[in-house]
Amino acid sequence: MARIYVDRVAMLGVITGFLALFLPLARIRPSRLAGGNPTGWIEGLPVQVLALIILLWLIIGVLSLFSRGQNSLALAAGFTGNIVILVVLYWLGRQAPLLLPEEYTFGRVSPGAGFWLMLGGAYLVILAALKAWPGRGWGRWLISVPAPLGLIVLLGGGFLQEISVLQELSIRQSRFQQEFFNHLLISFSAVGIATTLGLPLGVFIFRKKKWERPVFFLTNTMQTVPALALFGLFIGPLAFLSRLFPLLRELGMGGTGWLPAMLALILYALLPIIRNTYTSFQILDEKTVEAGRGMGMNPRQLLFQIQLPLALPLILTGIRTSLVQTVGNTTLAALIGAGGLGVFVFQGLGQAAHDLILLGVLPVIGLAVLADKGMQLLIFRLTPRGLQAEGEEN
Amino acid sequence: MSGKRFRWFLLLLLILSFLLILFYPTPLEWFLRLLFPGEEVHIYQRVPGIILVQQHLMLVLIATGLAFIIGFPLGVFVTRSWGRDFLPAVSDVIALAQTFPPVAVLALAVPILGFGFRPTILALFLYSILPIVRNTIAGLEGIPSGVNEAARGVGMNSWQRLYLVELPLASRVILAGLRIAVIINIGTATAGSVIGAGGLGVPIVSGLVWNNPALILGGAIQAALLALIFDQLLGLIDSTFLSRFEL
Repeated sequence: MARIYVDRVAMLGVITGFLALFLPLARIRPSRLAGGNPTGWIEGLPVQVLALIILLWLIIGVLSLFSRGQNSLALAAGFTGNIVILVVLYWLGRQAPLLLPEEYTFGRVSPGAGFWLMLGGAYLVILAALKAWPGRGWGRWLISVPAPLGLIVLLGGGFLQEISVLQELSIRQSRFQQEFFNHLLISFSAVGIATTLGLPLGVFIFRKKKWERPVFFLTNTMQTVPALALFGLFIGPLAFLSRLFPLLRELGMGGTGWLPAMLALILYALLPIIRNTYTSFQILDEKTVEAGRGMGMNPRQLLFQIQLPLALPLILTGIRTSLVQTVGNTTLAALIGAGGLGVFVFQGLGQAAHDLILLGVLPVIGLAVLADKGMQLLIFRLTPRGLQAEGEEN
Repeated sequence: MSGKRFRWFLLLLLILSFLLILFYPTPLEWFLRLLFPGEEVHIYQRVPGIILVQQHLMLVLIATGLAFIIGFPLGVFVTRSWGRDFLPAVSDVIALAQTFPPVAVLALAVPILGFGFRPTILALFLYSILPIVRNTIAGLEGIPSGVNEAARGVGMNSWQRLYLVELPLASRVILAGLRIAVIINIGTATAGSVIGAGGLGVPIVSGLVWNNPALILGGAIQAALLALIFDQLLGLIDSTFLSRFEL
């Protein structure tokens, strides 16, 4: 008798997907500030669509029953998981205006707990498929690309326009673009400056050991200061400076605004970069450097042709940590008037407007995840061939 | 041994200075007045400091405690033979969730639980469960396979191996995860005051609102001291009680 190997992770995803059907698909709210009444999947969607969703989950379920060790079945399950996400998204967007009662002129339709749970279940199925499909072939694309790509198409084509968060966006389109750009500018330039400072500093303390302790003591202590406070600490000194030198004020460098935010973010981003630069030089195989020296390289050549290329992956990992952390912390910059997506988060918190909070938070999370994945790809590309075999892909 | 004695001394010093600031803030006030002579108020007075500290500790300890109660068994579960299927998925979810900014998690908790104490606990819990699970997995997976083989060879069953061999050997890495969780939570809990959870973030946020750097610095010093105290304390627990488990 053939034994059945169940893929339990995918199975958990399937169970989650079916459980999600018992939780509300959406919440119908009379206004952007009001709480709402939940709407289930049966009331919310046409019967055929609901049947399609159930059918897709059944397909995934059957595939997952046999998919362990069977790559092609896992691939099919993962692909179907992508389809589930897109079907649910598209139909929620399409049904949203129909779900609003006539009298709700300013009504909003928000995704409910069931919606989010179903996406979570599909995500588990996709994760399971990714594990069953090793390597970087076309199968990987088939599992991981359709949902993000479809999301972009749905967003760009305006298919999700009637969902509450996007309605919040359409009220303040230009402000959003401005703050989004602001957020990127602040966090990327902070990490850029932190890198140009941190990299030489890491090399420096590797060469001059007596500076190692004080530098690490300072940067470590800096990390224990709450990010929230660090943003405030420069207000006083900078306000004082700009009172002394009116020129600074004309350049927009005052107690509040982008300058103190930038300083705080740079200080916060320094530690991972310095630490990883230092460590990467330290764990460098002494024999490799020795060999270079034997070939007659001078210290400059040693640094640029041997040490830096070999240390690069670990240094980039430090920059990756800094970047992800900084993209998140830039949210707090809004508290001292520096703008960024935090503006929407804190306005939303102030008005108890959930859509507005989400309008700030979702792009921040998206940016952080994108920065992480982008750096991961860059590190993978820039790792020297000789190191790639031992380093893992993640 | 003098290194360790120095660290105990440092811990004592940190605790004493923390208590001093808490119960006898006059020196801190002098210091802040020296730095910021222009301000009228230098110490936050609307709520007694002891209450803010208590709120802060409650937030951190409850959240980290819950995270440990859930995260530690989860980490053990995915490294057992009957849970290993879930190991890649759990690692992936953690890697993804780790990129979510703490403030974002905090803000996301508001639509679910409203304002105040509970959403802050939820956010801190979600954020601190990550290093705990990650380090539990890393600690248990990092044990050389020869050790496990030897334990099997002397006739231990899987529970005995877990309790007598694997957990003690992994304990230092697990404690390191707990340490990270506590430190992150002490910092992030200050942001909880934005959504009305109280704690040491209250003077910081008031300072931001009233444009008073003295209040910000005062709150920051207290929160940083608290983080340093816990960092030292857990580090000392590690080197005093767990260093014998080093292979």
